[in-house]
Amino acid sequence: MYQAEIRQPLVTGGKTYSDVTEDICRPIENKPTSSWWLGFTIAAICLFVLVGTLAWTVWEGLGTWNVNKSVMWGWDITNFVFWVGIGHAGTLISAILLLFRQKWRMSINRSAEAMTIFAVFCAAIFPLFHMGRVWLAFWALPIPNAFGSLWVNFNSPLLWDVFAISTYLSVSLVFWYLGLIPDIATVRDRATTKARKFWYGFFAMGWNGSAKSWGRYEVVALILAGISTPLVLSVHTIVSMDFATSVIPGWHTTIFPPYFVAGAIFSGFGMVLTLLLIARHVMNYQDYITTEHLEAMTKVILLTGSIVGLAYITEFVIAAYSGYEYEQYAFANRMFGPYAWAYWTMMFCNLVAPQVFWSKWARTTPWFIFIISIVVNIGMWFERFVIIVTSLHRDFLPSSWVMYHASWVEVGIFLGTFGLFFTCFFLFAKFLPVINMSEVKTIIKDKE
Amino acid sequence: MIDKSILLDNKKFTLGVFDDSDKLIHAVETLRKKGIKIFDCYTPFPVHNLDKALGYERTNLTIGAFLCGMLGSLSGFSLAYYMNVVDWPMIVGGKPNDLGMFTSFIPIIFELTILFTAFGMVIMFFARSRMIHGIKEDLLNVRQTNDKLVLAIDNAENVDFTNADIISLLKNEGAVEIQNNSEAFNTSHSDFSASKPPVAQLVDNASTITKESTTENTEIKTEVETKKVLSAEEKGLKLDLIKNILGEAAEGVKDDLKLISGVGPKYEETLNGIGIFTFEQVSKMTPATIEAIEEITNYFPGRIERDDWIGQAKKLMNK
Amino acid sequence: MNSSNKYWKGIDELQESQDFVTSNVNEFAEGLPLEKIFSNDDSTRANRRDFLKYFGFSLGAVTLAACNKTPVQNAIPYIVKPDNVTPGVPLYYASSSISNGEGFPLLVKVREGRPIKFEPNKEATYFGGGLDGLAHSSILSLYDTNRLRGPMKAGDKSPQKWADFDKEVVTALNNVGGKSIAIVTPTNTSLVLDQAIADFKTKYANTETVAYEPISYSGITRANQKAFGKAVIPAYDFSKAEVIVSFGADFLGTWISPMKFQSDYAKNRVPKDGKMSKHYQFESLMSLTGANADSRLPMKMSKVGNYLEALYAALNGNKPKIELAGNAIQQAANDLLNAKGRSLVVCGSNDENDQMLVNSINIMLGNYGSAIDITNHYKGQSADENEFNAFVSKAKSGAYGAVIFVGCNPLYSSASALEAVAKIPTRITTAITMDETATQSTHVATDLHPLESWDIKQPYAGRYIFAQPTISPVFEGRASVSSLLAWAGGDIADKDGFTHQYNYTKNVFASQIGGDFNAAVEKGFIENVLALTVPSFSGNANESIAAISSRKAADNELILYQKVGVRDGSFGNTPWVHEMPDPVSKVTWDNYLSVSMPDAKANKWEDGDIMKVTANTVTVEIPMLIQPGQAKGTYGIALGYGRELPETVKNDLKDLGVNVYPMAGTSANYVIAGAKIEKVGSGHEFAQTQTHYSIEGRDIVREASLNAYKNDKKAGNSFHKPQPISLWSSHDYSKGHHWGMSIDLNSCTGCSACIVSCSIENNVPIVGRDEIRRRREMHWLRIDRYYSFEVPESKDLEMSIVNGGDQSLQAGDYITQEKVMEEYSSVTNSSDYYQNVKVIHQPMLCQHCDNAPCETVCPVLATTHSSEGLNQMTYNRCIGTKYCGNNCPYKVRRFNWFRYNENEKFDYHFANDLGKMVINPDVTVRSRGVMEKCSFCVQRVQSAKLTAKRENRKMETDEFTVACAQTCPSNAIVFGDMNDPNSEISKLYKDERAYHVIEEIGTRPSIKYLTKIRNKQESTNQKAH
Repeated sequence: MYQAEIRQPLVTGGKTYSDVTEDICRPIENKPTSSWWLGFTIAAICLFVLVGTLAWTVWEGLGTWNVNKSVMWGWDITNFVFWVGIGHAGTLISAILLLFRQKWRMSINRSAEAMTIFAVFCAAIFPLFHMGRVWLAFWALPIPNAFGSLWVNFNSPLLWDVFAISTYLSVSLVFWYLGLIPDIATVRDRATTKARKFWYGFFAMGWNGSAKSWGRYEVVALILAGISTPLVLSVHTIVSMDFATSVIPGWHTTIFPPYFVAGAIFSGFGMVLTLLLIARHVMNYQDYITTEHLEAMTKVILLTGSIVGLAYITEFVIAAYSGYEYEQYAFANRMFGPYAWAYWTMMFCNLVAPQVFWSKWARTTPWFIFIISIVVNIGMWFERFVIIVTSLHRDFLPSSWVMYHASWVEVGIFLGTFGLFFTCFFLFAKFLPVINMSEVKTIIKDKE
Repeated sequence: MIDKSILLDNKKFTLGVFDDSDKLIHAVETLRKKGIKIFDCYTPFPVHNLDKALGYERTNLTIGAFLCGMLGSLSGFSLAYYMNVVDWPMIVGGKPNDLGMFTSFIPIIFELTILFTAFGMVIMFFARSRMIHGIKEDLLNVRQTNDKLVLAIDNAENVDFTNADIISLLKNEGAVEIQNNSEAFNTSHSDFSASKPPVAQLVDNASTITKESTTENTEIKTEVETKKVLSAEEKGLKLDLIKNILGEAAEGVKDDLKLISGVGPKYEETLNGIGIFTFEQVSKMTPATIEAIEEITNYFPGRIERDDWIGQAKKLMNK
Repeated sequence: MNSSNKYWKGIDELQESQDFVTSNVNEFAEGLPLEKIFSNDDSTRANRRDFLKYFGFSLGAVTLAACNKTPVQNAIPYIVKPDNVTPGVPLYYASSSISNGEGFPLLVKVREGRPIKFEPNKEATYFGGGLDGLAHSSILSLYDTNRLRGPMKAGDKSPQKWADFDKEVVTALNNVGGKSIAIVTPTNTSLVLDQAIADFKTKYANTETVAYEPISYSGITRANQKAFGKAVIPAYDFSKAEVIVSFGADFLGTWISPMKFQSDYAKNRVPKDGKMSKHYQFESLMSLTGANADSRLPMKMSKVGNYLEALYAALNGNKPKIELAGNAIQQAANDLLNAKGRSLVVCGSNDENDQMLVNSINIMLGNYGSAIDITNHYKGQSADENEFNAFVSKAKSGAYGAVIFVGCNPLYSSASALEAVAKIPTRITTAITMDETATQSTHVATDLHPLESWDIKQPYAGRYIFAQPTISPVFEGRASVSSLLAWAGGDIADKDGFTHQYNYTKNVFASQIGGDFNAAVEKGFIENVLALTVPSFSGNANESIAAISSRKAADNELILYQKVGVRDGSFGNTPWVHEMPDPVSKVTWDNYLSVSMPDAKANKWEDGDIMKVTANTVTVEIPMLIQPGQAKGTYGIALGYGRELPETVKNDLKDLGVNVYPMAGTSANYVIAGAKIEKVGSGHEFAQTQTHYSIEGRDIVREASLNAYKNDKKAGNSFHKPQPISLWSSHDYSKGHHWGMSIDLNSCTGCSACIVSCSIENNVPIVGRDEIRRRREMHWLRIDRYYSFEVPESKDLEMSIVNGGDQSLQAGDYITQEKVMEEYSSVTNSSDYYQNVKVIHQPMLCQHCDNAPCETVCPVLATTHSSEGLNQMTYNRCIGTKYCGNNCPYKVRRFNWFRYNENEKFDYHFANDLGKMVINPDVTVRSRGVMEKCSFCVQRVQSAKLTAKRENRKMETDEFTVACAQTCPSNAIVFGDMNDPNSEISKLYKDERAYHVIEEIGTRPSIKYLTKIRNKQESTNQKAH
């Protein structure tokens, strides 16, 4: 029989419009809390580590890393893919869920999009600084040469990356900013100090919330969402092509694009959860980020996690079935070779751990979700490490088989990117409404 | 910096300030039925169907977006083609360096398409909405980006209506304040910190209401107000109408109307109050009855159609 | 390197010619027309033109002045261009090698007056037309920053004037007070030096000459003294031997004259019409020669006499007393008897009796007069250590008033000499650097570098090699010949524009050889040899057998051996040989105690353990390395390390390895029974270029047995993986040139000469020990070495071991997978099979794939394909994403992790002005952060094409070749134009043995390898392939 469902409210606590405004503008208009200062300081310190290690790398040369003649990509590209992957949930949540009219997205998409942008910042660092001559990085752009014809290579997946990542970053920024405008306007109109009035006024672009603007606004948002969805999918597809189009056993796999995209969403949601649970706790947003949101996201994690796990197994079966000794060895080596510990860590974190979300309790217990979300992030880092390093360290000719262990500089850079990420995030939390007020206001009255 | 508000300076507005999107929509509909021209509405969040109610036709930004996308694809292709085929063909990995390498162009074409669409759209949007960094905003009510929905009526456009008519209409539609733009704007700035809605002076009998009116318990207040507006015999007539069409429910027969999406426990009582107990009755509703019910119970206009109560009720009946 | 040193940049600066000096003073070669401008009488009222003139000039002047900010470098163009020196065009001078004292013909490539590379002299066919790594890298001794700037006395900080120096020396020599003067030289092969010493003796009658060599072959010379009455090392010709039996003689790597032996040996290794030589190697350590043998059997070197005796018996039809696995001795005997007169037995032992047995065996087989030539015998390295020992004991007794060391360094390699020599009041050394002997001397007469001097050498009786200067003296040196004569009161002034050394050499030539000196020098060598004769044999095998049988065996033995490349260590300060990995162990930069796997397992030792080794009362601490193939109970340490270099040396050459010459003792005994070995530490990390030694059963190297090859020319190479279908038609390389290479795995011995030659030709940087530990060697060309292990006959062979494809191992099978090895060890609970190892060498360099994976992925088109099939690297376009390196299936791309030039962290020749003179001007020195790789010596390709173009002709077939192919002593590498039907390469490409490595991934390489054919009775196991 048909049962018109009665859903739990997406915003609890019977908030009115002004309550929403008050709650969400409070952190912006008040002095930052001590916990904010603490977190911000730690993040800033890590950011300094980033600057230092990168400077050292550029000054001394890439030799300060431990990559070698066979494993020429190590932690650098691992971290690149890791961050890009994280950068996928944001746009995905806002775009795809907007298309699917999933209203639960509304309280989380703002911070998710912010996360996207900061993650892509972090990601962009690695392809830049893994270059031997980073000061010539702009040569990877299709710019004309003063001395006659000299162009880029459109066959190269790296070039596709350049286009994909930059497009993704700029479109995400636009999407994010567009969503911010009405809220910035709100802050502007509440502003008491001159400076704040000016700056928020500057960025509000004179938004007045007229019905005409809203009409266009919604169309633009919808179409942006429409094109962002394929964009998100394309970005990680292209990233996966860095490997899929190569000849290295363990890289040369047609399954990569879907499997990378699933992995990206997986890790992305993992990170969103980590951040939201912190924000929710620190800023008392329990009424806006309800257990329903958490549950919805854990379901996504369960799904994507299973997809990724399936991909691992498929990959292995295909290799075994291929009858191609190099491919077979590459995968046997992953499981039982010198880097087996990384492989099994990955398997546990990505395939086994998320399965706990079959239980309702696990899906609705914040501290538990927090732990799993961390585990997921670790697992996804190891996935990239396994794919990149174990494939390279033993490929075709046994004579060039090597081992690879990161140097302190590589570790420092990775740590540093977290510094960058959280510095950005803390500043965002201080100066911009972390929850999309205008959207939330449309749903608070959905239920009597 | 450009001051966008000059656009409105030479205009005299009457503003209906609402605190509920549904009331606003209903107000808009009624006013326009009455033939009053509405300048525009200002809301802190997108109100669905407001543009329909205001009779705006859908924006044509989408076509622009499409053209931008086409431009993107084209430039993506020509970029790659010129560089790797026309100007500097190289032998790379034994791959073709003629049109045969089109497959390698696809990612570029795709990304540029999206890039152009996105930026083209947004730029057009800003242009159409006269938005640019640092432009000075034009606010009729300082809370229109916060928690108030403002309905603006350009007096000049509505010469054949007296202010009083318009104001009373707005009041009837549940406006919590009636303002005149210039004063409203200034006053609201002046005593914003008090976060008390500014009082409109121009209508004396409105003052009585607005005296009591405060941001909280607006719900109840407006209900009281609408009851006053809806005179007894009118209500009686409407109730009869409903009875005639929906018929009476047998004594003691009572369905769980809450099963209908959109009906909460509270509203179920209201319905029972006007003698609606069964799905059968609901399923018999006609536009007339619906309007009547909405007016009596002060329910969201159009909501009943939107949630398709009739259909739901029918299903629930044949369970 | 303090920049105050000025190096001449052009002959004129050197000769300080008049117009050079003047032109050097003026800023401009021709004066500017300033007078014209200023003498203008009405210049006071300057008109517009004048104003513009002044303005323009002052502007220019200011600009020029501003230019002087940059450090001034004295790069002066030729004012008067010397004849036949065209900038950018190399000159080749025939000369002699400097690495092996006896001399070896070669060509010196000279650019703008600087020798930059040695190249083999292909006309000297007797020597084979190849060079080894040491010969190549020895050129750097010319540009050694530690070279002496002039004559020095003990304690001097700065060089003296020759006149004063000579005065002192002469007085010292005259005041020996009845005591005698000793002149210590290497085994004397320089006619000029001989003459000079003779002349010296006329002045100082009380002069004795002592010959000294760090490595002694006295066993051979003494045996020959007994057997033939000639204390000489015969000349061996391996090309005449169809059966070769070697008892621990590493004749391809280090024994006597490997450069020649390799090329002779290789002549019979290519199975033309199913015939190739058969090579037995009985040895203890895993030598380069053993790696190439058809049958290699591990044995204890201390028992070599018994095995020789056994072979001797077997040849005489008796049952050998002692036998090796699979009756190898008997087998060898049979094969030898079937090849009488076409065989050769050699032995690496330095014991007279062993060598006597060898002589009698060879006599019995009638190899004298064919493979062994004692008539035109070898003249190098034949010094008898007893001669030097006598000198030492006399020195101890104070019999010498003075000693002159000429071009030798005994105080490094002979510990006993040290305190004895100290007793001699006047110690004079002619040397080019402050080596161990020079530091102990009272007077150091700075010698000229061989590349700066004239010489006539006689490596073989009747074969003369001429050395000529290819550069004017870099420092204030003087030829030792001239020095000796100067001290003998001779007149050493230059005459009619020629140096004394030249005139003297010319006279020696006239008196002793005669003929056209210039022609001889231009050709580089003269051969007037006698016909081969079978000498009368007066040796007695039985005496030797008796002597041998009286030896008592020890449970373990320590073998002092030479390393390929470093050899006796006399060029220990040239980094190239140390960066060149050992052909077998692939260890760079260190010497080590090599241990057999069974011993290591038994004692629970591991790679990198620090061992305390005591032998002949000498104790050293040295890291150990497990060497597969090494015989149980034998240990090895390489000689030639532990050089004491001057303080100024800061790089890895300092304190390099351990000097174990003292262990050999005065009797030059390189096999020490009963060495004491214990573990005292652990954790040394070797700088190895290859750490995984099994081929994992992959189809990378293909091989077959000779029998199989006789039946089917495609044996071992019959299976070709299906070429994947291409989505697009490939580019057309049929027009013009299409460069290709073929590498014959049969003739390639793995000697690694090509690596050094390539490094010098292409300015490949030296990166040092630590960087190689991080697996970042820069060699464009490497030689992969794989072991596979033979399953020995034993009772537990029935047990089936999963070997990739579920087959069970049979005796004679080869294990090629790491896992199977471990499994087998655990199952049989023995690691003895690690002694029976089969080794394969595979040179690996950029394959210049037509479908190159590296090209596709470069975002900036820094690596592209040329229309001639070259995979080109555009260094200054490269941004260093390293994607290409990852995507290379052959892992031949090398990345510049640091700036390797002008960087004190890499303080080798790229870091100092003098060393930089050896840089090849035709090849970019790569900057930091770019990728590099083999370019098929594109600079040679281009210059050859341009020459042809300039001479307006088509390129001739195989007109030129690349550095690695050119230097290969065994001619294993062939380079050429695949579109030229007559070229050797296009013929080799049709060979049935030719195959591409990992062809199935469709990279379509331009290098083909030729299947390895092993001359072994048993059928090769196809399983491994």
